[in-house]
Amino acid sequence: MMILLVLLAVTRPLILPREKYSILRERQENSVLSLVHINDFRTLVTGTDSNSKATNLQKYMDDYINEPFSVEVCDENNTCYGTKPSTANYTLVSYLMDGNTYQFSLKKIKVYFWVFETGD
Amino acid sequence: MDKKGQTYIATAVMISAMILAFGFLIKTAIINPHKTNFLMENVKVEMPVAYLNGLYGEDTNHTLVKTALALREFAHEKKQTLKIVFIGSLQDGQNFVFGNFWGQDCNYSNSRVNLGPIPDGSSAIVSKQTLKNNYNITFCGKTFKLRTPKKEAFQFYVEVISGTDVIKWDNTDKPL
Repeated sequence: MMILLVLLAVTRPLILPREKYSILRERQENSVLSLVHINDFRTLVTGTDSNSKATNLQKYMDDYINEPFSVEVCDENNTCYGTKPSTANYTLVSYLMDGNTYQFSLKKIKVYFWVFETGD
Repeated sequence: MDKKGQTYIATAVMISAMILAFGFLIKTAIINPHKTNFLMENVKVEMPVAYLNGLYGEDTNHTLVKTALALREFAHEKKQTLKIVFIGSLQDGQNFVFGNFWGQDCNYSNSRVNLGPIPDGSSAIVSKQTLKNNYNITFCGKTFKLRTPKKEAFQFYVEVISGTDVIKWDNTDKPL
């Protein structure tokens, strides 16, 4: 029993931070995946060709994502609209989206989730 | 320490290791019953969308090729490897598009004909007549049971290689 407890104590710090990160990451990815099936969202992304439209997109996404984030949309020439955080404290979830029937173009959505140190 | 004590410790270590390994296996099975990742989910959504966009825009071949190439490049940026092979029926009802993004040139065949190769990173339009009424196709080593192209049908196999993980997907049992 003592050995088991020692093994657990030794391996716990190695396993736990990675588990916490993967859970956080999965939640962020799922929040993006929940949006990509919504026609309104896809239309907003496809039509994003200015910073003001990127702001509208971010406002739309605010209703679906419960943590601080900013969004950028990049076209095939890697021209991007929206906001990228100026600090390094973020995780990035990026998704490649097809256009629609009338406007077939590929867009890359970059959602930057802000990371706050909780100290635990 | 006497021999009995050493045996006791060795047994305890083995049992502890087995409990940890069992716990890890159970945790992995519970957390991730169907292995996937975000890139794979991206591909599973966007390839069928590209097919439908192509059908309605009447340029299925171009749309699928463009999307598959872009997804492959996107995977490369994420330091992952993406492999896609697909067959979709075209809007004219007489042809299929065969797409090879499997990382190597691939032949396609059925029991009556052996055709190809289709170079990696490209597609080919194949007519119904070419297949001589046998729609059980082997393409890049994968099996496709095609419907005759009277209605929309899109089948694809995908592999995402991420580090040592290989994540697989095929929709051939439930084609679009």
